[in-house]
Parts: sequence; structure tokens; C-alpha cells
Amino acid sequence: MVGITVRDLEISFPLYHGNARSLKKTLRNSLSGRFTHDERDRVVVQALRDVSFTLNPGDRLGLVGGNGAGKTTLLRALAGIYEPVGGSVTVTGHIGTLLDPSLGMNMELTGRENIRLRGMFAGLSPAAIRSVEDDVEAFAGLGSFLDLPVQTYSSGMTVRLSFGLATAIMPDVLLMDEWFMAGDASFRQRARKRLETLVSKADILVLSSHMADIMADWCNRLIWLENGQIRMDGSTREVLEAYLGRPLEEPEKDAASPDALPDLIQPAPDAAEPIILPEGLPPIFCRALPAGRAFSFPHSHRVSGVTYCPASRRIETIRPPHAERSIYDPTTSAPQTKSLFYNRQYHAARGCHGGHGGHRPDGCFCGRHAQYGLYRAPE
Amino acid sequence: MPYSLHVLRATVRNLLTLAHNIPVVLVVFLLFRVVPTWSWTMPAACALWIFDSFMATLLLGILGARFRDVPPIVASTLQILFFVTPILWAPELMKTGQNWLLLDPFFPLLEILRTPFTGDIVQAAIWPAALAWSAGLTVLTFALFARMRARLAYWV
Repeated sequence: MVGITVRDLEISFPLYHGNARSLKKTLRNSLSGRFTHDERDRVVVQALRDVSFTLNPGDRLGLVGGNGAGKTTLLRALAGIYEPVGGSVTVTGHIGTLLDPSLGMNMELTGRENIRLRGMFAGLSPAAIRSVEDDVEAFAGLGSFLDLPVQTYSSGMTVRLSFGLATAIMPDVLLMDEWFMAGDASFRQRARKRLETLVSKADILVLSSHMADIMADWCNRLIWLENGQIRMDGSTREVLEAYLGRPLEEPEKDAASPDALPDLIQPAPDAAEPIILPEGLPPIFCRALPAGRAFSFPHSHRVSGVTYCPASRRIETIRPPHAERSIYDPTTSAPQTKSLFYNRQYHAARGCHGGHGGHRPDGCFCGRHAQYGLYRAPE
Repeated sequence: MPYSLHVLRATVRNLLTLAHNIPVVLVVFLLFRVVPTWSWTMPAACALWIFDSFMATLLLGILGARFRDVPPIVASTLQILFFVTPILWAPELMKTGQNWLLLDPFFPLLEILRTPFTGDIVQAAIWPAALAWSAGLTVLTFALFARMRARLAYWV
């Protein structure tokens, strides 16, 4: 079971400078006895105080806050780099971190050797390492430089290699710092695409960023940190609006108009049978899809969508934009609210790889389960 | 990553550096016609050396992370110990008080490996002294590490 529990986390950094860094002076002070300092006489920066939250599979947590608010420290504490001074951090599941670009890179080894090193560190089989190698080679586009030591690379090449490497191995819990959104425009685009795959496959994402649109797109929960404390914890929208001090602009409203819908979402044909949804949702019509055809929404079409999975006999509704996905299980009739994102465990439990057709993670409608295209009720 | 990984890396690196000195020893042995006598203490001594170097690296690593003046202190202490310890001179040159040498941590450790190689007879007190120093080092290091492990990341 993947999860993160943080209870009353407190982290403070002692600032050692001058005499405090000298063993000789520290010893002399403690031996001379007359000019001793108080044990507490050191400057301490409180980086985090009273931080508590719990994350479950499917949670996409974003951290917002000004510089020095404690975002990176919190990520490092989650990664296990800083042990808590007070409170506790419990993380279950395999952690992947995108915190430091040069993490785990040996500058004297070649690019290819670094890839193997990382693969071995992640405990991959030789075959898996080879596929990671091909994957990174294709992404980084370093050509013959891949066989030269990393210290001969330009800084841009190093970033491309480390980014490709860091995103090649799929973790359960993904921790991401904001630098991953940096880089030149063409790289950023490719990087973003790659990140989206990674993000969609991770069970839990914790992301720190300044970019409101990335937060709005990728997260379903935000924590606003200020001076090391949680100032606000809530849904993406409400926290972002409070943080930015203005309402979020409605993203791409026009795309949701019926004529812009993908061809899968059309007025229901006469033959379709209505499925009556609970809680007064409008009736939905469904029709069998051509075999093997995935049901997907491209990014720009944030429509009300519904999928019906005959295998589990569950109906999933999606409310725009970036709301939750509600799963109605007719057998229990208790609506559960799930993340809008691709739910790997849901499909894995049914022995399905769950490939999705859309290029957005939330366009996940696995071709095997969604054998029914769903249509809007005729107006 | 466990912290001991970094210590192991440093230990292995230094062992490899040390291995480069083996040809010098061989040449010296040939020149002076020294025939090492095989004894079971040789591998035991090597193992103790490796273990101690791991512990010493860990100990100095913790101290070095916290205090910046540790490397120069270590360098000058080693310099003094190099001359105090019978490395360039033989302990037999001391007319009295040879037992005081056991208080030098490097002496017993050096003796347990050197005597089998040169074919000398090891004194009775040498092995207990070497083991006692190693145990002391281990206890000290372990106590310090157990106490400071959580703080290490905040120092670097």
C-alpha cells in the first residue's frame, strides 16, 4: 500500500559558523569552564513547523509558497534526506525523486555508464537496464557524446541526460522540485510530455512549483506553505485562488462546446440504451466501441465524460475541469471520489496494463475496460 | 542511500591505492632476502586492518562533517604518530619502556601484520592490544554514529 503520512513534522537547521565549526575551539571552550556558552547558544533556522498531512494513492499534491517557505525542505524530508527533528514522516512505496539534476551522476563516468549505474542502483535486471539505456539515448539525443565522460558535456547536455535518466525509472511516489520545468522551449516541451507519462504512472505525486498552470493541471490538492507552516491545505482551485489573490481563469471554455467535442462524444444514436446514473445525473447513453479502440479525451476537450466498465460494472463520471472522478459502483451505490488521473492500481487489479489513448494523463480510459463509448443524452 | 556506502567507497578506494605499494614491498623483500613465514594471523590481521579503516573513516567522516578543522588536525596527528610509532625504527632500539608503545594505537596494529612478514616472533601482548584498540574504536564510532546519524544531513 503506497502512502505518505506526515505528523507534526518539525525541521530546523542549526547554523554553524566561525568558532562552532572548529573542533579545537569547541573543545577548548568546553574544557576551560569559565567562558562556556549555553548549549542552546546557536542560531537555528526553523524550516518547518507543525506540518501534518496524509496522502493516499491517487493524490497529486502541489506545494506552493514564496522563496524560503520550506517547499524544498519538505520534499527533502519526504525523500528521507533530512531526518525529522520533531514529529514523523512515514513513506511506503518506492520513491523516485527529481530534486537535484546531478543526483547520482558520476562526472568521471561516461553517459552510458551513468545510465547503467542508475539502473543497478534501482535494482533493475540487465534487460531492463538496456531498455532504459535505449530510452534515455533516444530522449537525450546526445549522439556519440553518450560514450564520453559526463564532465566533458555542456551544461545543457548534462541536464538532458540527467532529466532523461531521472524520468526513465517509474516510481510509486514521485517527488519533484521546480527546476524540472526549466530549460529551453523545445526541451521543455519534450520534457513536459515525458513528465506527464511519469506523473500519470506514479501513485502519488508531490510537486513544488511556482507555475500556477502546472499546478492546476497536475495536482488535485495543494498545500500553501508560509514561513515553514501550512497556511492553507485544500483543493487546487481554492488554494490557488487564495494564493494568487485572484480567481483562476476558466481554462479553454470554448473547447467544451459540443462542436469541438471529439467524435466519440456525439448525440446518442437511437439504438443506444440509456444508463440511469444515481444522484440525478443526466441519463447517459452508451454504444459498443469498435474492438480495441481506446476511449480518450484529448487535453483540450474537457467535457463531462462517463465511462462504463462492463468488467467491473462501474460507471465513472468526470466533471470538468479537473474535478474528481466519481466512481459509482451499482453494487454498493456509494460514490467514491477518486483522482481524475490515471488510476494504475484500479486497472492493475484487473490484470490490464491500462494504456490510454489521450496524451493527457486524465484521458485515461483503458481500451480494454471501456468497451462502451458513452454519449451525451440528446438535448 | 545508507551513509555507510560512502564510507565503504572511501575505504575501497584507499585499499586500491594501498595495493599499488605491493610491488615496492616485493622488491624490498627480494633485495634483502626476506622470506615471509606463513601464519594464520596474516589474513586475520588484514581483516582487522580493513575493519578498522572502515571504522576510522566513519568516525573521521562524522567529525569532519561537523568540524572543519578536523582534516588538518588528522594530518598533523598522523605526522607525529608516524615518528612515534616504530615504523622507521625498530622497537628493540628502546632500552626501557617498550611496553609503553602499546599505548600507541598504530603500533600493535602494525606489529600484527609486520611480524609474520618479516619472520619475527610476535609478542604476547600485541594481539590483545590490537583487538582492544579496535574494540575501543568501534565502540566510540558506533556510539557517535548512532547519536549523530540523524544530524549528519544538516551539517553538510
